[in-house]
Amino acid sequence: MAVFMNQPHKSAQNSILEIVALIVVIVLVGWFFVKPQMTTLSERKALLVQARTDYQNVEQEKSALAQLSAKLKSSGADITLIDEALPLQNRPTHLEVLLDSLITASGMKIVDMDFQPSEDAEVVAGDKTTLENVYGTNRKLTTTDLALTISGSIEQFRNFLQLVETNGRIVDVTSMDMVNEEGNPVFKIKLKAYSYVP
Amino acid sequence: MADINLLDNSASDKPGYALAGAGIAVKILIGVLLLVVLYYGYLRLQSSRTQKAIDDLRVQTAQAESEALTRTERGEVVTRQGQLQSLDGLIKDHFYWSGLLPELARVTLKSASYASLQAMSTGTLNLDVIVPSYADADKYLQVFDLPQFNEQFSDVKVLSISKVQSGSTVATQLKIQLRFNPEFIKKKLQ
Repeated sequence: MAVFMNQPHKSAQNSILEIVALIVVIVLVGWFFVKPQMTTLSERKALLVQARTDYQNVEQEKSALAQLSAKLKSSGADITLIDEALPLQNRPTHLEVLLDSLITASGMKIVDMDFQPSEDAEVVAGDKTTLENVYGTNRKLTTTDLALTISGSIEQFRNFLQLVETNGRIVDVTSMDMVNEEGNPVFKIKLKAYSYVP
Repeated sequence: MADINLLDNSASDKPGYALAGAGIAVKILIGVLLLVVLYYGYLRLQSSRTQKAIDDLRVQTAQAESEALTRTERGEVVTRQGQLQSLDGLIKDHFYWSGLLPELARVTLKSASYASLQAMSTGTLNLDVIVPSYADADKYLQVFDLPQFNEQFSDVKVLSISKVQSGSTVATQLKIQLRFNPEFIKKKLQ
């Protein structure tokens, strides 16, 4: 009889224990398994978005490179002008030949032409690495300084300046010095020419 | 002896309902637990698929980068772009000196001439001016006070005044330093 009186009480206790245990298990599983996995999935989704963006960027750049390559092939005349304006070599003799022709065209005479190398004289010919792969090396803008002494009239000098200004190659006159001795002006000019070399 | 039931008959129904309720709650919670486990499995699967997609995209990106870098015309394209960028800067700062001399001639007294001229792209001009007399030297300087003549020139300083032999006459030499507008020689004249 006593047994029959206690059974319902024990079953109720067991059920409560089961419920509590299940709740605890659910909370633990949720906290230690589900939550971290949700975080991982969220992070990976962000990485996926980034990876897609990176891929699209690279594809766009690849496409732009293809377009530029095609444009380059069809722009021969423009390339010639660019190379004339900013040569890929910095031989001072090339510059002197140009200035000689401009001086002659303006009617003036050369008294002196003095190339002024930088402290570390650069290679201007025979660079085999560059010759084998002209576009394979990194290049930078460099300047060549030249001092020129020419004689002629003011009007001829003005013509010479105009020829330098409108010439295909970019050459800047950085200073002018004129001495007028007995009606024979002599002009000393400092020039800066530019090139795009390794 | 007959059994004596000391318990109230109506009291025997309550534990039955409570047990049934608890049983239902347990089943519900078991169901919830199963759902939680299934959801965890789903998350693991999605996570794995996402990682695979990331890895595939990274491989494709690396391939595309490699193709672009090894393209034969790339070197020339990069070189030409560098040339154009450099040219842009050079052209902006390119000097047009040919306009300075006519402008200087315009503001120069007719009786004056230049024995020497020194001009620098920074905007400094040193002049040796030869004029017939001190009065002409004064007139030469006064010109630079007039707005129609000092648009491009300013800040005239006299470094020296002396007498010099000019042919068969004695003339006045004025050594001056003045400023000219450097932007003027960057502006291409028509």
